[in-house]
Amino acid sequence: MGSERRKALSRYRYFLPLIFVVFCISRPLTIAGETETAKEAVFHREHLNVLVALIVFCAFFFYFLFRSRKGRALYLRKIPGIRAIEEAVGRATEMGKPVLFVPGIDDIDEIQTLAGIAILSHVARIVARYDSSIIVPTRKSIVMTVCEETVKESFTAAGRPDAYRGDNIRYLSDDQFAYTVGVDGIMLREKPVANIYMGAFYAESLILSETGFSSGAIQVAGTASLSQLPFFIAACDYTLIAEEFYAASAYLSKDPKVLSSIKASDYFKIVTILVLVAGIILVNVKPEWVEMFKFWF
Amino acid sequence: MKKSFDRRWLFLAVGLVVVVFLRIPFRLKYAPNQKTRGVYQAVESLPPGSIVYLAVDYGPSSQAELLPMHEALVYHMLKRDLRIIAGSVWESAPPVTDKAFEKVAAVLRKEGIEKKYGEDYVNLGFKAGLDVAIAKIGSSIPETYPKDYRGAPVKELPIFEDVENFDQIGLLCNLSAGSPGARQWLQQVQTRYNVRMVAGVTAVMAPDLYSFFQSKQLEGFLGGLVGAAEYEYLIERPGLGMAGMNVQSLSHFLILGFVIVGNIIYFWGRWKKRKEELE
Amino acid sequence: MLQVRVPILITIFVGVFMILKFFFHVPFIKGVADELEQWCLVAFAMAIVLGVANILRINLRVVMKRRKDWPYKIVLVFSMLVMAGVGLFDLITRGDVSVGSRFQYLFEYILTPLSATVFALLAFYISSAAFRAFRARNIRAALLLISASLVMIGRVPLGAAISGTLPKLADWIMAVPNTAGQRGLIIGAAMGVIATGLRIIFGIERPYLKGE
Repeated sequence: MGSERRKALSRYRYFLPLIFVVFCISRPLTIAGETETAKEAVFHREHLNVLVALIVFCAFFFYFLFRSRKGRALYLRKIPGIRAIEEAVGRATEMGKPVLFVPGIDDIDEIQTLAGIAILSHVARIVARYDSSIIVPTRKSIVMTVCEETVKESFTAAGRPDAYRGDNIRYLSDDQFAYTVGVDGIMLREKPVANIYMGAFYAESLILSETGFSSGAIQVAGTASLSQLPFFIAACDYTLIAEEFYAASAYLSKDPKVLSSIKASDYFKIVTILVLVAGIILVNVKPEWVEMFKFWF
Repeated sequence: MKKSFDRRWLFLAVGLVVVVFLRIPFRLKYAPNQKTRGVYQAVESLPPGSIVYLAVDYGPSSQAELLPMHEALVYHMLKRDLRIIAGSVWESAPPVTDKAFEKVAAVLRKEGIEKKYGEDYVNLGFKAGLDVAIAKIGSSIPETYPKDYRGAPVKELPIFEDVENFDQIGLLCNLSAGSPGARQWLQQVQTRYNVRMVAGVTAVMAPDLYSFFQSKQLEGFLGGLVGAAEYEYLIERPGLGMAGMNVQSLSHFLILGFVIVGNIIYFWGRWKKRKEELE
Repeated sequence: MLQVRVPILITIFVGVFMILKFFFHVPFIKGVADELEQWCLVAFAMAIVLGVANILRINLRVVMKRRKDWPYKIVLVFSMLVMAGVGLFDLITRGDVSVGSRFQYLFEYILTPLSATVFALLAFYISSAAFRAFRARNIRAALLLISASLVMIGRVPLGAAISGTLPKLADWIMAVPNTAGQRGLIIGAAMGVIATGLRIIFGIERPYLKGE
């Protein structure tokens, strides 16, 4: 009887998000009338160029999305670092040692963390398929919660929900270097054979990768933190640089919907390069048009 | 079996250089670069009584690199009778901010200059929310920080008499060691409210800021301990920055020496191997 | 399935309003976006509580089951409780944790030296990484070696004492080729951010959700 009541009550939990949305909309409506609104333009004209760029990007995005739905294959060049991830997991399985996945040290609002977690879901699926284990130390508690759900869902999708170990997803510390030392401790005690660093990193990147190097693990890193790339390149076997890191989850999933966003950003980059070249020519040939050009771009 | 070099010899050499030359002080000549001068000029150009928002976004681990420039900036600003509102989006920053204010206030007291908390400077403490907190600070400082670090309502502090948002702020100065940091302040506050901005960052983060300096979004920035030392040189107040640069200079040369020796060994090995193959 | 659709709808709702706030000055949109930002701040603050609960849950379980390294877990939990307890005590007795408080004492004489020590490890690791990585194996590696050496010497006053040209050369390397490369990477990374953001807002990528 108790479980039936719980089931019935659990259906009502979906009303909580609805209450949240209604509250967010209604509060501004009730206080809007109390404040004087200045006579300002409705649209921020100085952001017009950003809006145009966003529309162009979305146009490319939806074009490739519809193209992928029609079954036309999307070509992307090979990135060695991404293939190395599967080899690293295979090696971990052979040696009976775990894989260490570090999803960056930033919080869930950082886009690199989200990209890292997207890669984690694929890596966890590979780990589950190979019957290996994965350790995911996190620096932020919200990231730990999301990683728990991600890894659990990946193991379930691979048909191995029994193999999931919640204790392997660990929140260590909010302090940057306490977290770094904690991860180093995991590397030296549990001796993972593969270290995968995917996300936002700061000063601790070299400490992590050098410790991993000294422990003999194969290391694959991916980050868009440009100042840390040289350290990863020096100490890791493979490094995904900036956009390669963002494209990695698309590669691993091979999902056409995700791949289409990579194609969109590539084509938008071509547009950006053309605009840059046009600007360089304009500055030298017709300097009087530069102000108008600057407004639009 | 090939014998690999034990890197602990490198660690020992670096450790010895640092320990020995910390005890042997010597003077070096400084030639502050354009970026450091930009920060100095930005502070010098503010009329007395102007308000500076000091965003302190670093923790105890980066104190060695950022505290020298933090103290030098606070000293320069208070000596020029500028008023400082300090806030943080890093939870470990407020105690560091307090420490810097107290130390500089004590130094100024010895020089006969009295600075009062609440009138000349204030520490607002930590605000959770990262980039979102920065955006909210940009729209309204008293609304985001109703109380300061000591628990006093900010509206009752003399320094907040006319301060509502960044329209009343003469200069935004960000000291950061990571994220959220200079880039987030540039995105959320500098571009939106067009406020003058300078930054002080760790040496590793400095290359990221060159493009913002070239596009004039930043009037200047201090990079690492060398930036702190150059700023101390400009304000004519030697401190931790200049003391640390002596050792850092020698460490750079030591590491370069290792790199050269490593390359000599590498090329000698390659030449030997080729010679054996030819024989 | 509701448990997949509802989070996606919330993501779309929040994403759309934040984007609209950037472009339009409409009091209703600004009001909703500001309200969402407030909710976000509250969620971030609550995350600290979540973290503390997780530390206690995992580490106390290890201690009770006497798993490997359990004494260190006691030290960890004890340190956390002492720091939190001292901070709360200071808040109750003196109203703040600023200069002169016991909390500040622990922060300055325990946490700060420990953090600075770990950060200082970088100096040693950089020397071993440089020794290993800076080998002129080919032309590109040789260029890297030469430019890194020039920047290392030029950025310190000792380099300026050797020759006045070195700091100018180091500055040029940082301001021109380095910045040019960085700008290219920043533009590329920004595209990646937009693509990833759109994937998440539209619910195309949702690794943390169950089901399809």
